[in-house]
Amino acid sequence: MYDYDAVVIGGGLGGLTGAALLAKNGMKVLVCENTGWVGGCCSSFEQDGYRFDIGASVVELSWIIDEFFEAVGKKTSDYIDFIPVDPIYGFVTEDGKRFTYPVDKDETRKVLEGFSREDAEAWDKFSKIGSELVSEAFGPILTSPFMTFKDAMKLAVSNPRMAGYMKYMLMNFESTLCSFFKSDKVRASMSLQSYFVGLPPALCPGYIAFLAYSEHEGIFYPRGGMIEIPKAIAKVFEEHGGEIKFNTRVKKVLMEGGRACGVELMDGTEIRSKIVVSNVNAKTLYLDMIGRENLPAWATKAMESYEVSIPAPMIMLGLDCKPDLDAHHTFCYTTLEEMNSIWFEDYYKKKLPERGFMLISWPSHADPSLAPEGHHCLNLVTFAPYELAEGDWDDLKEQYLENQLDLVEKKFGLDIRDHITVAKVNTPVDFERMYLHPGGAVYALSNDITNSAFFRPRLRSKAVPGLYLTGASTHFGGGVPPTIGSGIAASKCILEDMPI
Amino acid sequence: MKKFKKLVMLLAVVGLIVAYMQSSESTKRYLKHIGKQVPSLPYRYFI
Repeated sequence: MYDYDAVVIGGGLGGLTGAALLAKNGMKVLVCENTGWVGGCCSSFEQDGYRFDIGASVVELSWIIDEFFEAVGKKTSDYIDFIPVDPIYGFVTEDGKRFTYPVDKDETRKVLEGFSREDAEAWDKFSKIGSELVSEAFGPILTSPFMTFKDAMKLAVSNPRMAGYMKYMLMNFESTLCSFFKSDKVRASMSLQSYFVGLPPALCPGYIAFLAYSEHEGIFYPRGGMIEIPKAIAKVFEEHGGEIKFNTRVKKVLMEGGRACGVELMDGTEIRSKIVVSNVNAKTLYLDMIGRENLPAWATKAMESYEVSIPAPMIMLGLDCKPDLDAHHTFCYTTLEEMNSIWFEDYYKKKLPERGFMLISWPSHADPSLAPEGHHCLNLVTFAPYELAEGDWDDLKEQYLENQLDLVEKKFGLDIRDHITVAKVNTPVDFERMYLHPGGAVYALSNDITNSAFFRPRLRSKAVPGLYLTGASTHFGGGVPPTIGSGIAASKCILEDMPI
Repeated sequence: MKKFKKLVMLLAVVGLIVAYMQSSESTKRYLKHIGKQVPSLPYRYFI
């Protein structure tokens, strides 16, 4: 009656992780992937001898990946060669001064001392809380189902110190950072973390500020490009008998008696399964693939109420020289006020970005094999609206590239125009076309506090029995470790519901 | 007892208003943003 025990829609990190764990536990699993490769936003492609990353650019909290490999009886190092990245960040200030934050937190403290002795002391307290949050809060919840108020209370009761830190869920990012650090320079160097969840400092939850600590537990780059992570997980999946169908787009989720029981592909093929696991944006899943007609009214209201996250247009450059940078990631120095201003005055008013914030990722710094000898790859990342007040992305690609190259020259002092051998622009519209992400959203849904934890769509759907969610749409949100964590957590729910 | 409960509720509401008024512009913006989302939270909780 059933073709598979589980059909997984989408071969991103969350879907692949869940699929591999189910296959390891004896289930017959199929992954339907819309593109010709794995990884979703954690992927890479080759062009003219360069290998460029499409989205994610680095890995932190790598123990989550180790937890996955341990769960499938393997060792991470047999599948992925992680290169430690140090320093974490480089910064270029307005007056052209440069500094870096090393991974060693005591070395970072010395850098902070150069700005403010008081803030260097505050760094100790900030690091201590950050360390406790990473080990005692993020640790337990990243890979476990966290779907109800009761789950949150359990965590608070099991560790009363965590209850005290819940204030950082009610404070915003800006207030949290300002409660520790007094120097504008230090605050500016940490203002970028809210960008990593796609929110302005004023609207971002306070606990995100502690990402500035979590990176000091070590960050890594997989040799061969970010795609090596999903490729490794896919390999484990296939070793356990799993099957991946590429260039296979799911049109809808099949329903029977209100329960998910398989998928229908774009060509009309029906694949029946005991359960369906989704790794696509939850809005697309519920509103398009399942359809309002199959949902209770409250579920439709819930899904319509979610806002999608920001798109992150990306420019990938191949250079015939070594760029004059100091770290894998370099940021232009942007104060909290400027960051908020860019969000509220430019982004929310649908303007093409022309000023301020930019991240330059330099993957060939960690792994020179990504480019021909003597050449390098750079990714220029910023944030920009999906809908523009004037013009559309397809017509403005060239102008966007020029704007960003101007910014690189002005803010980073890098004149690279004459050294560019390859330039590719992925706009929010391209992301939508490639990955079916509505609005080009890279983190699926917005990550503010009202879309987080038990307010984010559940791993185990309550509206549609037999349906499970993984990826950035569900707990814990976007990013490499959280999406892998979602696959681990979803597989726990499934194995609890369907004991083998 | 009823009057006492009402008084406690009133004090709590006044306390929240005072805390809001004394908070920074940034915090006010954050709380306003959360406030706008509150009607959707019961639906989001169950999805």
